[in-house]
Amino acid sequence: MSGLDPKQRRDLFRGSSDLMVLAVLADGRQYGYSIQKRVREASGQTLKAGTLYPLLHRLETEGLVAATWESDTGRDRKWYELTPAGRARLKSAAADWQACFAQMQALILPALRRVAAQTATD
Amino acid sequence: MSEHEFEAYLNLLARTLRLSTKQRDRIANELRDHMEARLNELIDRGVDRDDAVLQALDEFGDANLLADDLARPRHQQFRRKIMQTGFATVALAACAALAVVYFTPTNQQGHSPQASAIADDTAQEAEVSAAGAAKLTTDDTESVIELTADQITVRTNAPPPQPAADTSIEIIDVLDILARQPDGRAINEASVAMAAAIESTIRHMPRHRPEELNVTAFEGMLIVSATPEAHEDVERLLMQISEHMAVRHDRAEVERREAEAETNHRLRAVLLAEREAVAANLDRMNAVLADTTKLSEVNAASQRQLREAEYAVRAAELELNKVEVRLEALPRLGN
Repeated sequence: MSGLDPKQRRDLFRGSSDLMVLAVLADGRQYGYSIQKRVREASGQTLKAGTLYPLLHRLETEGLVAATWESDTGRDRKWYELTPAGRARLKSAAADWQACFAQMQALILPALRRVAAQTATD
Repeated sequence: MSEHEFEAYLNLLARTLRLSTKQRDRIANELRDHMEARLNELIDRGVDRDDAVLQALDEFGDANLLADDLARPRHQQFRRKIMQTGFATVALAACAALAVVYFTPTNQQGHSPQASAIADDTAQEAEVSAAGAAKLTTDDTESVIELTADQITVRTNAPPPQPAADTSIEIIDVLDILARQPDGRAINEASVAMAAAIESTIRHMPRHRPEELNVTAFEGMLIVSATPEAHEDVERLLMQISEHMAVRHDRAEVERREAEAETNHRLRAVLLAEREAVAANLDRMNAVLADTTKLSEVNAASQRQLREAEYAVRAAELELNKVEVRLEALPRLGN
């Protein structure tokens, strides 16, 4: 039995899209489609193209990612990479996310232990 | 088919993207790259080609909404640049104006602007209060400048001007800067309320009598300065900024309209070609239907083929209708 339906799972990740993209780019430069694929493979979350591209363009205007155009195999492709400001944002956003995660764990883990103990005595 | 559908989507997107032609082309190139990569992935997974095209497009969502989302960061960046450029220029002029205020012999000899004079004797305070307020009335707006012992209050009922609301913030900044000391240290933060009337209070500004101050309205904003020369400098500069903004706005609008006309032209050509192809398909289907009808008259087993041919004709007719509707929806071109 699954606890969360797909929509609830999406809601959990909503608000972390910037962080997911910055994290993927920490491995090196990527283009839009490969970013989407990496996010899906790593987190199971699909950043729809209609969400991904406005997000990338916003990060670019904010100076968090830098973009370059290259023609490989005769096709123009836009590549994104983290800027120093993007790396700094990744660090701070990741720290915030981890703090939230730790707070949730502090709540959930004792609850799980209590439930397990009750189940054992039933 | 894929290329055709993708291009139709990208054309629609480009029509609503209020960006330069170069920016739109780049966005279209980037999205096309994604669409084709996604299409190939889906086909490799065994998805039917037409379904894969629809799915790849579906992931981009509504073209108009996407156009808005893509253009928004650029428009915000543009506004910030205008603000920064304008503000830096105005700030420079305001500092120059302040220097004039401080170093003209009139000011030094007359109503002292020095900080030591702020704690003043009551006679002068009374004199200032008795002088009342400098009032400026232009058309529907009224601006009042009031002096008390230690502050100047500026009130105007002029609403933030449209479309030059950004400029009005800069002007308020000018007022704030005018309230700085020559070494650049701010001695007060002017309070700004942009919702309706603007009221700025500048405390501890070197005092002048109301009649000494030059007060005029510019695009619904109030400019205050202590010497006519400084006033002219600030006014000239604001005029230049305003003209600069208007020219940029006009140029962008012309460029947008030209690009839109060009896109419409291309889209129309694509749709006309599509109409031709769909009409030819309808002809073929009608021919098949005629043949099948003849066949069904002699062979009962051909009934199913007959129904299929009828469906195919209906589908081709619907397709043609759709193209006609899209063609009709295109704005008429001048030529």
